[in-house]
Amino acid sequence: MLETRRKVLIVDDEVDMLASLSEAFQDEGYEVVTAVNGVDALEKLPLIGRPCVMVLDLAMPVMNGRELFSRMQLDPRFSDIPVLVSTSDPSKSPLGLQVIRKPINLDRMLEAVHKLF
Amino acid sequence: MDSDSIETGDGHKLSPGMADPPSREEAFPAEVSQDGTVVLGESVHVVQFYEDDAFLAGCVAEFLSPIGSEGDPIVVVASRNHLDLISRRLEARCAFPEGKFPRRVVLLEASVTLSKIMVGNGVDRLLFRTVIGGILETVSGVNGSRRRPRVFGEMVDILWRAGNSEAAMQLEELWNELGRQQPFELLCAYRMDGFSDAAHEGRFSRICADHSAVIPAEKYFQDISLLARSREVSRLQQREQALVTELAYRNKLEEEQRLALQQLQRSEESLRESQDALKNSVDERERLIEGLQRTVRFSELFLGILGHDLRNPLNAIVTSASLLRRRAEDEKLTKPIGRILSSADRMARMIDQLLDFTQIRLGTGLRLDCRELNLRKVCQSVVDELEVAEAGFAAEVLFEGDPLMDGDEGRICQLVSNLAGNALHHRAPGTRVQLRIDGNHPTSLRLEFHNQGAVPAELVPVLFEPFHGNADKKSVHSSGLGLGLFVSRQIVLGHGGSIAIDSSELKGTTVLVELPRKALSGAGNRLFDLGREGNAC
Repeated sequence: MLETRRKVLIVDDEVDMLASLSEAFQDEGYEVVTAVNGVDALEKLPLIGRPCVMVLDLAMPVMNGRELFSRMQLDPRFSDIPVLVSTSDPSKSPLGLQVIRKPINLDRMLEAVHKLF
Repeated sequence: MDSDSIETGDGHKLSPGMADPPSREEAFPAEVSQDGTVVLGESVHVVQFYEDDAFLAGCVAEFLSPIGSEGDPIVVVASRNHLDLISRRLEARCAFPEGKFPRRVVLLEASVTLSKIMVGNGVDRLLFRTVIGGILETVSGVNGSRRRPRVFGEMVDILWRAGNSEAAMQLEELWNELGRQQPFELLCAYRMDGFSDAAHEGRFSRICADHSAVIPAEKYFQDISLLARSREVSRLQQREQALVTELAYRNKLEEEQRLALQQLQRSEESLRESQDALKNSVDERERLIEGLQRTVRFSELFLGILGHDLRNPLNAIVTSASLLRRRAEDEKLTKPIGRILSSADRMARMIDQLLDFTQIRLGTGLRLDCRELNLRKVCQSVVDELEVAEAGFAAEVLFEGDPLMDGDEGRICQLVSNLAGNALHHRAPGTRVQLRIDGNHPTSLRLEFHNQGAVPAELVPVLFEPFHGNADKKSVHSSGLGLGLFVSRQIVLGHGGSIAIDSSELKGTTVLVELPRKALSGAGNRLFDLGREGNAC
């Protein structure tokens, strides 16, 4: 168990995926905030305090992951938040981001998140 | 005939060798009305053929002579030119009182006379009887004594030469009809060059038959020697025979030509029908192809959408199962969870292959994100994963040379995983898989996947075709869709490389991949389309 609760923002439009990932992170002592699309995430980001990592799905309705990432890069409050992209199609990931391919290997994802901060 | 008896007296001279006009005795034999051709009562209707106007004028003058004060009445219906020629001949033969023709001599211009008896294109019977019959009646009664008039007429020839042969024949008949009612001697004339067409034969014969006597053209009178004439007649008979034969031959040719033309027309019609049928078939084929393409495209699109949409619940299943495995401590739970994850992983691979296949087939192509990569590291990581995932996997990785190249790391991983997995699944029991990476060449890298096991010979040609696994359904390892090698080949071709297989029972199987070290047009995202094989990053 971690000594201090660190916050993870998980952005994914698949609610079952959100639920399972949330539980996996919570099992590891993380505080988890979820958003179902880019707009939802942009609305929650100023309210939840700075997350240590954002796990970001790419293909989402309303606003996709690439668009959300672009918006965050334009905002100094969020531009330095580490992002781990979770996607079935890594070729669509923005350049320079760490990617974990779906279906997700939880052990590998938790390890990758841990390394990001 | 006396060749010196004709005095032209009109400035015309008969050309050398030209025949003299026939005498009345020659032209009108005593039996003329007994030849059975035409019965005209007391009338005589003779036809004269000629070639030269001067000859005709001489014939007409001979026919009308003698013209004395006690001669027969005379009516001449001729063209303006012939009227002049005939008048001069008559004047030369006869000394008329005061230089004038007597009242019993009537000269009429043919075209003017025709205008008085024609209605439309035909000769009016009543007008003919009124005009012509009236003139003959009048001249017959001059001097108080009724004598049979002599008539020369060429209205028929004028009509004939104008192309109105029907009216000419009608006029001949009207003359004959008139001749049965009032006696006259009629000489009509036709120029021979009006009958130069073989098609005139029938009408020419009819003209000859409709007259009580026929006087040939001047050539007939050129030599009056009986021997020479017989010789000429024989020559003409031979010529006629030759012409008849020639005509028959031409008719036969024309008939053959007509039949050939008909055959050609039928062939053309048949060809047109065939062309129409072919065009219809092509149109129908194009419609069917278009329909099939739409159906195939729709099916592939449906597969793509289905595969894509299956990913989300599958991802949730895998993540949830992974979470369960992390939490589970009891082997009763971890084993079935492991089977769930293993099956879900296989399903994920199949969905990935299906999506790759539909992307390629739909023309959207494989997306390649080419960057510099270390092929040795990529291969080693894939082998490490396989060793964890596949129980009993044992691979020997051999490497030499420079491992750096431009490529899509994800796709290269997929390629190595597919080929190494195949080598694993189809190896002979108890043997190892060998992966050899040769980086010694400056412009390309070579990958060799080798195992001890042979691919059936009939499968080799279709090994890289989609769904080839259907031919190998009995294999214990045929758990996929048969798309792995197809997608692998597309990945290789997308990078500008090549792939080949060498397999035998003795040597085992080696899949050889050659990848260019540098992208041809720089790194970056590229779509590789199946229809443009060989594109590089």
